[in-house]
Amino acid sequence: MTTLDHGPAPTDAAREPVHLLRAGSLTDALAQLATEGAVPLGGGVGHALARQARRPVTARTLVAVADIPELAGIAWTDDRIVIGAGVRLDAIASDTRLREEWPVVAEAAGSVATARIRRMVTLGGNIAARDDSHDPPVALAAAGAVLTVRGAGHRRTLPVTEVGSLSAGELVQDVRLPRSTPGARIGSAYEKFLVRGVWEYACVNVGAVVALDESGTVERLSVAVGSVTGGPVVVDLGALPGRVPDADLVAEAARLAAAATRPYSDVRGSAAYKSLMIAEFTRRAVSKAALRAAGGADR
Amino acid sequence: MAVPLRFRLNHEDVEVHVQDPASTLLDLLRNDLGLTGTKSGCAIGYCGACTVIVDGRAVPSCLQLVGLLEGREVRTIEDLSGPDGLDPVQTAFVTCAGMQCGFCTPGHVMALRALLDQEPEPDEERLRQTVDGNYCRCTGYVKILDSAREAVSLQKSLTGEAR
Ligand SMILES: Cc1cc2nc3c(=O)[nH]c(=O)nc-3n(C[C@H](O)[C@H](O)[C@H](O)COP(=O)(O)OP(=O)(O)OC[C@H]3O[C@@H](n4cnc5c(N)ncnc54)[C@H](O)[C@@H]3O)c2cc1C
Ligand code: FES
Ligand code: FES
Repeated sequence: MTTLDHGPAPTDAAREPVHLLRAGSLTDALAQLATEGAVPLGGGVGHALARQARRPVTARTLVAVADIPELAGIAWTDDRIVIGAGVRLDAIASDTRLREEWPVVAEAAGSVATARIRRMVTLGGNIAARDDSHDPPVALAAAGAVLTVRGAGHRRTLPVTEVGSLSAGELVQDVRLPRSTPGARIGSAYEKFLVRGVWEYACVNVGAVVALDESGTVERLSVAVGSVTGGPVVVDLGALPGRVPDADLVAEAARLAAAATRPYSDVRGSAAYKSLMIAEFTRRAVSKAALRAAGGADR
Repeated sequence: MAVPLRFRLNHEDVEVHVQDPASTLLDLLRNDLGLTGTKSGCAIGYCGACTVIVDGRAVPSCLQLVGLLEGREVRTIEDLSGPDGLDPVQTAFVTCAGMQCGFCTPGHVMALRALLDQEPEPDEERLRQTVDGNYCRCTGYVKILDSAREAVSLQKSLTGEAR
């Protein structure tokens, strides 16, 4: 849950200055992060928010990683898409190939705040902030994305839902998405419910991926829900694959998503209301993803 | 201990010594450099009043950590000028009465300046996206959008002439 307004702060609150190091390479960054109290710095937006809220600063050293070459750019191979952790959300939202192949990811990135802020926020910083209401992690969880994590002398991979297990000295280098085989009937969609209808943090947010086989039967169905306890939560959809993507299947997916998640009450709605919205927005996301998979107009 | 920071500010190389590299560009501009044209509204990225141009792109200066500015190019509202003194975007706001109290105006002007530098002929949708994220509590946005459209045509009519 995200709270931006922490009420009036003492204007004389003393702030310990921090050190800011600019890493030139991944090796540099990992060496700098190995020191006591050092943390990575992406676009710095989360850090600026924490300062303005006068939350106590625990990090003594910030290591700027967004511009190091190993964390830059979007690379395409035959079987995967590798998005550098330093890539800004506006670059993800406007990437034409990504919009074509993983619309759920491009739409989630494009739904964050406003253009001015998307120019600053990095994908790595958005994910590593571990905020259950953040948009990109919900889409990436539905898509089955995997994080490449680097630490001094080691490299490991993590499902995006396990970002909580990052430890001190580690950073996210990139995010990997699987590629679909040419001609595969796969569709995905992102739905973000905004109570006030304008840009904001989500009341609930849902990502869905649907793959159909030759005959139009659902081969794979995946739904992830954000703004819930422990989110994003990948919903177990049991025996739904193997059926046709009709209204009954969509309704069943919506019911399972609401049953499997625990939203919390806050300014955006009560927990009970949010459960109803999770069902509704799952219905919309799965319907749109199925339509796209079938090659419908709104692909 | 102050750390040196070098960047370009309004077309000049500057070196400032900052106590805290994690402080924001907004505070540096207003409190240390006396450039108070950039306004501080919310300080948490919501209102857009503090928008400046960094490396050609409009961003809220309240979210920009100064330590990340080394070697970058910053432009603030103080930098703008044009053939008749004002930048065409500013002239458009005057012509269309795109402001009342004026508090949100530097943010709108800088965001539109950055847009027109990159896309001289933006469509209506791009203008709306550019105004989004910059709260105005006075005008109701109608005259701000009028000003944005006027800025596009003024800029077009100036193309070819030195700005
Ligand atoms: C007005 C406003 C509205 C917003 N609305 C939304 C919204 O609708 N949806 C949404 O999803 N977000 C929203 N955000 C939040 C924003 O996406 C987060 O604050 C995000 O975490 C900022 O990313 P950054 O790269 O700037 O972060 P930073 O401040 O640089 O980093 C954030 C955290 O991630 C860590 N980190 C950074 N990079 C890495 C890395 N490569 N590896 C490991 N750890 C790393 C840092 O140590 C820190 O803990 C909004 C923010 C603002 C100001
Ligand atoms: S003061 Fe920066 S966005 Fe409001
Ligand atoms: S003119 Fe007053 S806030 Fe916009």
